[in-house]
Amino acid sequence: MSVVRAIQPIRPIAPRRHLRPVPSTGAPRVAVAPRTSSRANASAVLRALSPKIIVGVVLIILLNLFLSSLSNASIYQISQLKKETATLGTQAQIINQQVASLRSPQNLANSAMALGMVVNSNPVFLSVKQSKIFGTSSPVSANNAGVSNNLIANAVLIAKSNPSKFAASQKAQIDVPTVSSVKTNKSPVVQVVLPSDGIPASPTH
Amino acid sequence: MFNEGTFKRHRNINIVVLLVLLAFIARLTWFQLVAASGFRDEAKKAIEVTKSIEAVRGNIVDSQGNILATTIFTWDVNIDPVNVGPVTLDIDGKQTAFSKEEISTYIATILNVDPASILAKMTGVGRYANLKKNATATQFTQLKNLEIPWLYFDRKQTRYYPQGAVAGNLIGFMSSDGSALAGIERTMNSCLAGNDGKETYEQGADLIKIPSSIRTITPVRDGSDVVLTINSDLQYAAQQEVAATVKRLNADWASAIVIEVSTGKILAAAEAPTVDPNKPGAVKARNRASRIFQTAFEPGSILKPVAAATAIDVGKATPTTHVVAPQSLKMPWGQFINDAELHAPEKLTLTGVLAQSSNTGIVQIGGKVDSATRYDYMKKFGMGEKTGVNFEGESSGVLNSYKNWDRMTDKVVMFGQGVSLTPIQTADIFQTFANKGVRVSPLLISGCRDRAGNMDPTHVDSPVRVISESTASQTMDMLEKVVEKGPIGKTARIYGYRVAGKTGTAQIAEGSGYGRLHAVSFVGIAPAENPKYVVAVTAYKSRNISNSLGATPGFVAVMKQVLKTYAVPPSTTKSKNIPTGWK
Repeated sequence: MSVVRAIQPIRPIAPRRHLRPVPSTGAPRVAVAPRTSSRANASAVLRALSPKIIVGVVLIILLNLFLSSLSNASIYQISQLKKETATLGTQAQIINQQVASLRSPQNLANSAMALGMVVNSNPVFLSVKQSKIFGTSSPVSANNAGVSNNLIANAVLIAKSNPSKFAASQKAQIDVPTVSSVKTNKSPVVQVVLPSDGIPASPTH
Repeated sequence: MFNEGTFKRHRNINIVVLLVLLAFIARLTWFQLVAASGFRDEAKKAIEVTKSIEAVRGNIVDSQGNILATTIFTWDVNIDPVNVGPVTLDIDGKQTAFSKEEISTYIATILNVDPASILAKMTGVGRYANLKKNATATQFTQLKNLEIPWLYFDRKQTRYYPQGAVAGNLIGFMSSDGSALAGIERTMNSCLAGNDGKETYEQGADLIKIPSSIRTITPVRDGSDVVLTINSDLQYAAQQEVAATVKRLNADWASAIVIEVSTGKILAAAEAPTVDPNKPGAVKARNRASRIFQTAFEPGSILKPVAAATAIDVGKATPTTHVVAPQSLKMPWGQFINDAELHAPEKLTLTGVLAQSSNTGIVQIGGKVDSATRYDYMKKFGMGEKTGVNFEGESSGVLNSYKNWDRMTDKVVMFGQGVSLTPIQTADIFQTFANKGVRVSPLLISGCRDRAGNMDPTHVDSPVRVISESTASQTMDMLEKVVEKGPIGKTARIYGYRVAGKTGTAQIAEGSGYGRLHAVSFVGIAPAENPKYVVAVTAYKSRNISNSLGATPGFVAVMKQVLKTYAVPPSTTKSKNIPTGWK
């Protein structure tokens, strides 16, 4: 009931009229616009702009083409450089593996042994500070030498030193000064200074 | 002016044009707006690629930074047999034609495989055949340079161990599919492995990646490096010695451990026979593990210093405590404890008991301490529990509660029977004597170091005070006499250095009794006056020498190498004058 009461009947409202008659001025209400004014202006503007628009569009297209070709070239260059990096990486790996093999203890032990070297298990220490020698030097014999021949496996020993080549190169180096045709300039004799608490130092510059 | 017919015609044409235009606009709108996302996705699918970026596994390096394990690339060489045919190669600038047979021989030579097998694969009808797995970088380069169109390569990561079997027992190895199977490779896998990444990009028809389209989904994180405490040069020298020891003694195996006293760092943990991780299949399975951490056995007399130190620490004995040590000692319940060698009853001090390694002597002096106290000390020395190294499969050894000891076990534990230890546990006990009575957990892995050089150090257990400094010092004095005066200990002398140590000849349990062969060992410390290094050498089932004479040459050689490596100056003082006997 309260809902029914709350709804008020709609009263018809009369529309207010806002239009008023226009006072007559005597002048004609409608005039014919001059035919040439706006169209002529527009076409004049178009005529002026169209070459610029065309040139602009052409320039944009050319720029786009240029940038696109530049970008494409860069992409191929990057791709090529990546290939080169991979190739160089592979070469670096080959060289690193060779170096690792050459510096492995197995290769060094084998090479040292081939050169006739043995492990000296009786070292002598020199104390520069105390000016003392610790231990007694003795020649290495079969009885006191450590294990010299390599006993430890290494399946990746791909590169091995060539001791005979090394020995030959050492010999060649030693032989050089003995060649009679080589003229040598004698260096002035410089006395080696022995510091009181250090290693004897050569006055080399 | 237009007439009406013309106007109508124009109007109709305009309407038709307008309708066509509207149809185009409608269709365009449908393409551009309604169905645009579908077309965009379809186009993207055609040119977009999602690729996984494999993280590079980290290195395992020694304390000096020398690489023991690293990752390299190898290539699987494959062919498309259907497309295989004769090829023309550029040989010295000259185009030369090769038949299928000729090129197969050439490929086989490069790959170092049987040419017949290569040719057989090349004449197949399938679209895939593998010519060789894990071709080296050199082989790959040689083949790639041939530019054979039907030959293609799959690059993959492969583990590479440049020093071969050096520390092979510790490093472990990987499977061919890149799974960590053993050793540090497996236990430290979370540090080494890294995280694979993922990225998407667009590519052209020629499969070229368009740089501006690259989008990283998951960033790749390469693995970190594991830094060991091992000195690989020392490890190699120690392995050489144990390999020579195995040969000399005709033993099952031998091991040598070097520990830095003050830090517990393991500088070498050498074993023979061992494994080259590059070819783990080349050795028997039992040689691929690390016995130093995984094999426990009754250590024998090498444990006598523990009983002696316990007696001193609880005030029941001193280094000069007297005892009469018979060759055979009858227990109250009728069983006998015997010394290894036949001898008349000897009047020995506790120092003499250790020097002579008398079972009957140590049982009498050590027996002054009750079982529970002795058991507690043995626990504090680390027996019966794993070391802090946490090596995979590490054994804790066996130390039964004193409550479960029978009357005989209660006695024999004092000379290393009825209890089992791994070689690393034995070495750790001597580290305690050398480190003024404080046991430091052995350390094998310094930490995990990321690519930026940030180190995550390994957690180290707190040091444990086991015996007093005074007891440790007295034990060291006694152990020095073992090397000075012991019949076998003498062979462990190193000219110019004071050395402390103990021999051990242990029977090896077999079935319900003991077998014929022994585990012989010597653990030594040098220089004794300022202990720096512990070296423990063991030879298991020695067939040629059945006492510690089999182990002392290896000890001497390894300890000399240690002293030389770390430039330890010879001793300038003399040992204390402690009597080994009495009248």
